[in-house]
Amino acid sequence: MAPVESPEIEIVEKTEADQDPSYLVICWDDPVNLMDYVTHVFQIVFGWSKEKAEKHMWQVHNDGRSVLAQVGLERGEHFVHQLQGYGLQASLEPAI
Amino acid sequence: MKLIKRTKETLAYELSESEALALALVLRRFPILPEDYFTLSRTADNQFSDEDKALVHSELIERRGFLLRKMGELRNRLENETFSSRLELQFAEREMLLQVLNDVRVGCWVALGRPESMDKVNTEADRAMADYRYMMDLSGFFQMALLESL
Repeated sequence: MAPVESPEIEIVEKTEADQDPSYLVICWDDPVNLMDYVTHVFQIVFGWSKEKAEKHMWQVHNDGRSVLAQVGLERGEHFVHQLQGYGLQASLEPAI
Repeated sequence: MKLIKRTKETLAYELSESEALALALVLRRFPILPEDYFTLSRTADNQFSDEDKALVHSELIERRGFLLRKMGELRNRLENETFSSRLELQFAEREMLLQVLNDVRVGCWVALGRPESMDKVNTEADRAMADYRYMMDLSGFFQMALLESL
C-alpha cells in the first residue's frame, strides 16, 4: 500500500464561546468500525472532502489514532458527542 | 438491498422480503452498546468536571432515545404486511439508520469480548455468541449497502 501523508490537523475558526483551542479531538482505532463508515462519519461531522476524511481514516487505521481538530472545550465536547453518537472511539484530550 | 431512486430529499431502496425481515431483526437489537462504553477523555478524564462528563453522557442517552423511537417507526414499516419491498428514506433517516446499525455492530463486538480478530471467536459452542456474530455481519451488510449508495 502506498504511504499515506499525515493529514493536517483542523484548527476550527474561533468563536466568542470558543476562544481557547487547547483541546484535541482524537479518534482511536478499533477493529470493528468499517473503514468506509469511519470516512463517512468524518465527512458528516466535520464537513470534510472524501479525500481529507480518508487521510484521517487511514491515520487512525495505521497509527492507532488521528487528531481531528484542535478546539475549545465546548466545541470539542460537541465533536466528541457527535463522533461517539456514530459509535466511533473519540475522546477529548488537553493539547498541552 | 439496492438503491433504485434518488431525489434531492429522499433515497429509495429495493429490499427482498428476507432482507426486510433481516433489517427489522437488526433494528430490534438496538440499543445494545453499553452506556458506559464511551469516556470523554482517555488521558485526562480527571481534568474534566463531572458536569462536562455528565453533559456528554446525557446527550448520548437522549440521542439514543430519539433513535429508538425513529427506528421503531422504521421497523413497523418493514414488518407491516403491506410492505412492498420499497424502502424510502430521507437523508436524515439514512444517517440515523447508519448510527443504529453501527450501534448493533459495535455492541455485538463488545458482547463477544472485543476480539482483535473475528477469526479467534469460537461461535460453534455457544448459541448466544453465534447470534452476536451473525448480528455483527448482518448490520455490517446493511451498513455497506447504505454507504455504497452515497
